[in-house]
Amino acid sequence: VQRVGDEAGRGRDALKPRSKSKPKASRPKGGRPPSGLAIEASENLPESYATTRLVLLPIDPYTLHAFWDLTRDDQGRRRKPLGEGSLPSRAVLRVYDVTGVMFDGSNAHGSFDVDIDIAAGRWYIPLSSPEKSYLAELGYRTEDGQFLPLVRSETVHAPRARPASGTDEQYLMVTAGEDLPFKVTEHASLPEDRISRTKRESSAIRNPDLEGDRENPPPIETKRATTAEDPLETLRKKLAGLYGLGTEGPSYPSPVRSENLRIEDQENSDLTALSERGFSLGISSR
Amino acid sequence: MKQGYLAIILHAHLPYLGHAEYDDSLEENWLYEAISEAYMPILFVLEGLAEEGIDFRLTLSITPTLASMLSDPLLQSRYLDRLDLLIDLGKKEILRTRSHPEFQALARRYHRRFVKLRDAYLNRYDRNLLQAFKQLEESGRIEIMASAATHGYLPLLCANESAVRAQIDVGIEYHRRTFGRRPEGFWLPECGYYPGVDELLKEKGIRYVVLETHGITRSESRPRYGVYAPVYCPSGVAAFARDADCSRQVWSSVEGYPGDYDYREFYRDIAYDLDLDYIGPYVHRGGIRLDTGFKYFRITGKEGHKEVYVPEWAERKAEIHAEHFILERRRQIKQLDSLMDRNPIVVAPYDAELFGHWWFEGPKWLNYLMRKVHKKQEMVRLVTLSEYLEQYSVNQASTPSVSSWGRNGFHETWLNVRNDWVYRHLHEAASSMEKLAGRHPRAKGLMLDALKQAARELLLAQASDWTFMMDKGDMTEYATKRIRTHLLRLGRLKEQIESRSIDPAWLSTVENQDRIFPHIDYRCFRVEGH
Repeated sequence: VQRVGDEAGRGRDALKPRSKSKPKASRPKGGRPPSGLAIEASENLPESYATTRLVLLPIDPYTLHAFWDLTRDDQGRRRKPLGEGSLPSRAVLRVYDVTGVMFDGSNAHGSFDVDIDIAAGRWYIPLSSPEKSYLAELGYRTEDGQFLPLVRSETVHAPRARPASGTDEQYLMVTAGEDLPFKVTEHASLPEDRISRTKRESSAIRNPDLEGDRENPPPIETKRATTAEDPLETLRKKLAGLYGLGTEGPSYPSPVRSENLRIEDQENSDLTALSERGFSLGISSR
Repeated sequence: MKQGYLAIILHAHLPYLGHAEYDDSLEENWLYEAISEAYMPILFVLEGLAEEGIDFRLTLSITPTLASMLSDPLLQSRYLDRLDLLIDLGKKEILRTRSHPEFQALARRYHRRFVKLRDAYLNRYDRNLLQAFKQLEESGRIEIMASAATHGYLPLLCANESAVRAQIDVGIEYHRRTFGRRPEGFWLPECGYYPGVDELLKEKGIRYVVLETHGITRSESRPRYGVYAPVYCPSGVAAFARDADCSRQVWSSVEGYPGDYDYREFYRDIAYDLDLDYIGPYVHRGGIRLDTGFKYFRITGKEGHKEVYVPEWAERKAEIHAEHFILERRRQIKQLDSLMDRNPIVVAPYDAELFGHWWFEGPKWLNYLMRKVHKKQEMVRLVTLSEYLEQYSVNQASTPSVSSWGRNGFHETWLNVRNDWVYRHLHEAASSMEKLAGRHPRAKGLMLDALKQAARELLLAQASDWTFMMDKGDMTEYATKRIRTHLLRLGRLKEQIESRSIDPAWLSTVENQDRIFPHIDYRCFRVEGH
């Protein structure tokens, strides 16, 4: 019998987080003390809540989690065959791609089945495409392909896995008001501030975004770094001199240095790409 | 002149760890350590800056669970007991280390430190740190964000909208009562965002939230300014996003500042090095060793060998690292300046407990940072996020991406094979509470008390901390116990409410143990149709 989550677990191990350790304010110190939460110590949480439901929770762009509960009656439906003389059946989650549609049982873009152990109560569903809407039905499928659904989930959305391409820019203006909520109005464009005006007037650097020619951005050049020493190096030397220490120690992350970049195309002046540089999510390699 | 903004955000949070039912709770010590090492040292820094007239800005979130503990008289007096014990330990340490001057100097330092903490806690703050933060906010230098009631991880609670709504409503109401004003910002626990949560926040007048980097970079339409300006969610709530460079420089345990070899080693506490005969009275009664805060070594290197801690070296490093951080921001702003037609904002959120607890020198770093920015005023200016929004009221509109600052950027930290069993129960519990609240809209007397307690139990069960601990694996037993206990209490309350047979003695025991949100309005769990 497959353990819950085994399948998903293996897949996820392959892309183990790149240690993005997040310290918390405490850590374990050996064994545990007796807990005073003894009032309900002998009780257990219910095995079932005597209700039939299926809930989907998207975990990331490529994984859904499903959990379910079935009433005794619905559990019993397993034993009743799908019809007289029907074939053996097995429990499945049927997952529908319902992106952009109101599902009526027949208008999904596609679907796939995941074999499950119904007694497990929960499962992981690997997805091949992110950014889509999914819903699932829990039911039994016979060898000849008939499907008896027991319960249907709500629709959920798998998140985006990479930045959207292009820009479809819209703007809002939000102003605080005396009354809640605040006031939101559409705004045609970004107002340029004082800085931008002075910048445009005084700067030799041309910015395609400012000049509106997005199709054929003119090449932009930034000045290359002068030979002045990296301030960080200066600091390190200062430190070494102070304590007679070497400059060893943890290495600092190398920042993106404009001086070392020759900005030649939209790619390098794209602030979304710049924001993601050095940002590791650990999922883009999937 | 080129200029950009830097917004430092400290997120102060601990789950509700009060255990009134016994007087030697191990978990309560996490709170006491955080007060001694992070919250009070941070307060000292901020007040010092304010007294010297340094114009700094800091955004801070203080979660309702933490604030509840900070204002609980029982925990306050237990904290003082703990300080007394540590002062006593300090005296003994000074004696014990008499033949090792370099250790003795540290022992004296720690002794003085605990005496100072005790004095400030008792006399300056009158045991309530919240009041001090509130006063700083009134001075306009810090801004305090609200947060969810018990740090519920909202993207995984949203199968019950009532659960998310209640986390938000109770959290904001608590903030108003505690800090006396309507919050502008809302700290999404673990930066957990999903499209739609902003609509619920808007109803409460929240102006902004803070997301992980890809919350903005992967929003529905490509953000023109990346993370260097906020986007407006369709609701009009502004979403700022974390800058990846700032995170790494401070956060990473491998390449970040806190790993510097001159800084104090967190893991070498005398609690683990000395015989129980000696240290026994200062650790847990059952002989379980817990941090005393007497730590004599510096990180030294990657290997196990540790050298003695030299406070002056560490202090100097904190200054250098503050300088480095500012240089990096200038470099960033210089680069952005050629690409943006407004002043960029660099958003740098951290867990407050990193500052002083994990990274002992963190508050010093913060102090140097604020002073240096103030002194030089070159390119970098500190802002709070609402100040930024006052200056730039027009921003790009886009729906941010589902995101969190957890492992891999989505929800897997709080939902994986180690903790997935909880969601079925949390879902059912939230549905039960909806029904209870719907059926008893005008409860009074004992019924009212029972309904209020049911609401508290549900909220406490929903804390993201329990699933986080199960994911880490080292606190699984405690975390499991907490979820189970709160859910079982809710289940029993439900039965008693439905059968109108409330057991007053049991209820008051539970009320005394899970003593949070005295003014909770259980009706916030109601939904249309129930």
